[in-house]
Amino acid sequence: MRQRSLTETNAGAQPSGSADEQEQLLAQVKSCLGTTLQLDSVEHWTADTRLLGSVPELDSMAVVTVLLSMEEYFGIEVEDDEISAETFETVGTLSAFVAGKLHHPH
Amino acid sequence: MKAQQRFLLHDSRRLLLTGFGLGTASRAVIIVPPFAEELNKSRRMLALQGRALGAVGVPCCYLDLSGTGDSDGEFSEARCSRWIDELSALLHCLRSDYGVETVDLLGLRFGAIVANELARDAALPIGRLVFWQPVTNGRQYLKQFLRTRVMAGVISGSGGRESVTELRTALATTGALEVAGYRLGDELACEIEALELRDLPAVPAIHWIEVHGGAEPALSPASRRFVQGLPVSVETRAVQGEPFWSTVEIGLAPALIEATTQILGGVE
Repeated sequence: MRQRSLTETNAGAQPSGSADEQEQLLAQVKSCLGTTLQLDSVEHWTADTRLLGSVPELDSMAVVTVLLSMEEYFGIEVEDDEISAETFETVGTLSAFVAGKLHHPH
Repeated sequence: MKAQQRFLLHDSRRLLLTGFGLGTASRAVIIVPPFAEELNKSRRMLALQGRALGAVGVPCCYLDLSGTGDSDGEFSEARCSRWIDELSALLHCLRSDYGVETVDLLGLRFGAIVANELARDAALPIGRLVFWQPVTNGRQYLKQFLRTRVMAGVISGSGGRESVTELRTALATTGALEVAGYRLGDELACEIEALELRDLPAVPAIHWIEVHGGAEPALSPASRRFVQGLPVSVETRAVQGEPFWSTVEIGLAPALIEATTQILGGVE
């Protein structure tokens, strides 16, 4: 019986490391969000949790701060044309974006 | 403990000096401030740290550098090179007016890079360096600063999206640019871009402290890699707290004050 690979279960996400790595990345991204936005608890957030438009603290200035904190935490550099509102649609889309940067730095 | 305040005169500019316990010991700490809005958001923490050190008998002070706070000068005319001169002048003032023989530097965010530049002058009596959440790359930091102007358009979806690259070109062409309430001059931008946290001096000790949320704070992956790559030994630690230099509501990191007071407050 063929195992379903992670890339099939996470439709739309880039293939990006083991299940453990993805879990850890999701936790780190949640932590960055929670700390930057001064939210009491992001423990219950999942990859499907909606961000932009649903989290009132996430306005355009907060987006800048979140990007900065993720760049510094993960040691990545984000270019202008890589960011759109879609990047911040859910915790999962944001996490996938970071994973992409970590695995394909330029 | 009450803050001591006076003006320091340097190069015809009056610079506001805030001190705690100056004159009570021959070793003092100079806090080197962060940049622009990060300084505004950090003011409470700076005062708390100053007070905490003063309370354990370690004089501590910081300067409103030219073009910032209550000191003379326009932000649009500010220069890193001038800021370093001003800090050097502060050091000399501490020696002549307050009997200070050795100075430890506490650099916060971009202030860590500035503190490092100052410490590299071997002629100055610098003891220990402490970096709070240091910025390590001026080029990327400037991009992040310019990005504050770009993002409003991106997220609101309003047409006409400026890019950081376009902004940087506009800045070079016109000489100054309004960014999130700050009038940034091209000369200052060029200086920031050229600076990095590198060539750390051979001072007695260098400490690197980061602030993280969550129950088990640990150095970020990026910081771990950076420190591992350094040719000098740096003591690192992570404490729990809010990233107060960037939070919307005034943030605090009491654990950071505690750790720093322990390091600079006596024999480590």
